[in-house]
Amino acid sequence: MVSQGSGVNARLLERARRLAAESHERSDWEELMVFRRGSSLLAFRPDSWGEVVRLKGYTPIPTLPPHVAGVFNLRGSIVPLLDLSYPLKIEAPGPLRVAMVTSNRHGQFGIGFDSLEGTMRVPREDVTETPPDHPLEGMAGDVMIVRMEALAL
Amino acid sequence: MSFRPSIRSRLTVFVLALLLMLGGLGAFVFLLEERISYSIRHAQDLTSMSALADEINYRRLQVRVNFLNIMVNLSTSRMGEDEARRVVSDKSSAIDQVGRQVAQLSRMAGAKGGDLAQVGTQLEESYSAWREGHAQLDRAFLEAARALATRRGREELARLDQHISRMAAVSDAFGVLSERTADRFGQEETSALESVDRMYNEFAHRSLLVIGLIILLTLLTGYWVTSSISRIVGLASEAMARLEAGELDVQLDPGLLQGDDEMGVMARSIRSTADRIRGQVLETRAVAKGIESLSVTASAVASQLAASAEENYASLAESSTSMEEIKATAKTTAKKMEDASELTKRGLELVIATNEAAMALLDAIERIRERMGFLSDTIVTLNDKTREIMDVADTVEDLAEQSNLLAVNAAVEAAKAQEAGRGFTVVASEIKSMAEQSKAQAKEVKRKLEEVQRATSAAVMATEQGVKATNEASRHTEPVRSAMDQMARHLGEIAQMSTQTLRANQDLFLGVDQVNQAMEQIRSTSRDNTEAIKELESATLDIKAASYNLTKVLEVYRI
Repeated sequence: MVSQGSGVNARLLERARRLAAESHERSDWEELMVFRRGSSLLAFRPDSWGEVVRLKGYTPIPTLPPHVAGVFNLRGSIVPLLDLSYPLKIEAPGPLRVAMVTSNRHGQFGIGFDSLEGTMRVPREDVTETPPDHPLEGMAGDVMIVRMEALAL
Repeated sequence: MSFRPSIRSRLTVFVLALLLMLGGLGAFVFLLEERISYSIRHAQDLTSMSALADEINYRRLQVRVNFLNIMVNLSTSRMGEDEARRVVSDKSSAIDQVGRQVAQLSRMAGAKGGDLAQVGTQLEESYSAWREGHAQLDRAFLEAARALATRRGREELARLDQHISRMAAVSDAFGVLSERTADRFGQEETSALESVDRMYNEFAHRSLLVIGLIILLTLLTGYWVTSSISRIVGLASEAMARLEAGELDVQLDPGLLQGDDEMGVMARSIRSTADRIRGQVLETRAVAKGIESLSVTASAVASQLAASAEENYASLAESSTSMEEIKATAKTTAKKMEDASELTKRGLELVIATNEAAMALLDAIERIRERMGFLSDTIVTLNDKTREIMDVADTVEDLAEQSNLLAVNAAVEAAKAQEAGRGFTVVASEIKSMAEQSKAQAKEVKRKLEEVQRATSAAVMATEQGVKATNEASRHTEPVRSAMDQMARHLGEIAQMSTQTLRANQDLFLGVDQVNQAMEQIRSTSRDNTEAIKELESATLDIKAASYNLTKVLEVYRI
């Protein structure tokens, strides 16, 4: 009981500290949502973030380009599902379990991953920027930041 | 010797006489019946004959009337020869018919014979005259008819008239005779019927007489037979009364004794019975004399017997003493055998106790085995439960993952809300971290559960080994138990044998006792014998007195 109570207190203290720190150093940090695909970690910047859903299976459709895995049911609407393992040449990818639903000028679509790793904050100076025609926006360590505009459907 | 028929022969004679009389009655009835029926037939014949005579007379008159009618025709009108012949022919046939009837009557009368036959013959003669008369008349008639056909035949007619008047006389005579014949037969018939009546009366009288005779004969025979039987009974009772009075020299009528009838038989049997009783009384007298002399001899022998019985008694007392010694020795042996038996019994009890202990050990091992089984089952159940908890932990982990996703989506929504969502971002990240912690905790639980599972598997193995070990123990205990069993059996046999020996000894003891008892009995019996012999001595004297008395008593009989 005592340890649990002290655990809660500690967590509250830590949260208070973090909130206090964030208010000071917001501009120096970059927020990323990180997914795992095979052995690779793929991240998105907040402007391209979308709803993350658990994939309870999807339907492969023949004669589509190799980076389109198929379609899936999102609350009654049929949404195309992309697999980034082909364009990013990721070896031995596992089954698709989660998808981030987003949209561009073509409409709504989902991007499939093995699992969601979570959001992370990296110092802005740790992010290596790439040229604008590169399919990636940059690298934060070994995390690849995906360029949303490069995803052509 | 006088002849006296027996009762049976008398009865036989009576029955034969009765049968004879009944037969005679029957024969008489039969003959009378024959006679009566003959008389009735005779009367019937006479009736028919009388009727026949009347008919003959009637036909005669018919012939006359017909002829007179023709004569009337002949005188009034001419008649052809042919017609005249026809008339004559008709008349002849009528006369012939009368003739046949007369012949029949004459034949019947002839059969009756005597007077009646003569009547028949007379009638026949009269008929012949009548017939002859008619023949002449016919000839005259034919002539007259022929004459009348050719000329006026007054003469012929007159002649014919003469013929007719002559004929009328003949016919009347015939008629008178027929009537008389009829009357005669009628009278005969009446007398025949009267005789039948007479015969019936006679029959009734005679039958009554014969039946009366039969009844009389029966009564007489009954009286005869009864009197014979009562004579026999009287003779027997008289003889018995005399025998009762002791008169054995029964004197009977020699005529009676020689008789062949039941009386004779009875008298002979009474005589032989009296003779036999007399013979037996004589014999008894002789025997009584014999007994008297024998009783003297018997009393002497009895005295000798009494002396030897005393000697016997003394030697038996000696035998009894030596038997007592044997009994004492047997008692000592029995005591020894009892000790041996007690020792064996104690050994047997010890072995039985050991065997019981072995059994208890086996039971305990069995119980341990049961407990082990129960433990094993419990552990298996525990394992199942652990697996179920693991499933729950899996669900918790899954839920944590979903919470994580929810937190991420909240963060996404907060990011979309820009500045306004900043506070919510923190909350979302907090929720996310809690979800991650939950997941980690669930994982920890699963890990722990896996450890538990491993431990229970080890426990299952350990219990199995335990079961195996108890099995081994029970297998090793079993031979001990069977060895104990065998030992118990052997000891039991020894105990049994010693018991048998003891029993044999006891039997010996009993035997000695019985011999002793028997000796005692013999001794007492010989004592009794001595007394009995003494009694015998006095009894012989009594016999002597009794035989004397018997002789006296027998003197009552007159032989």
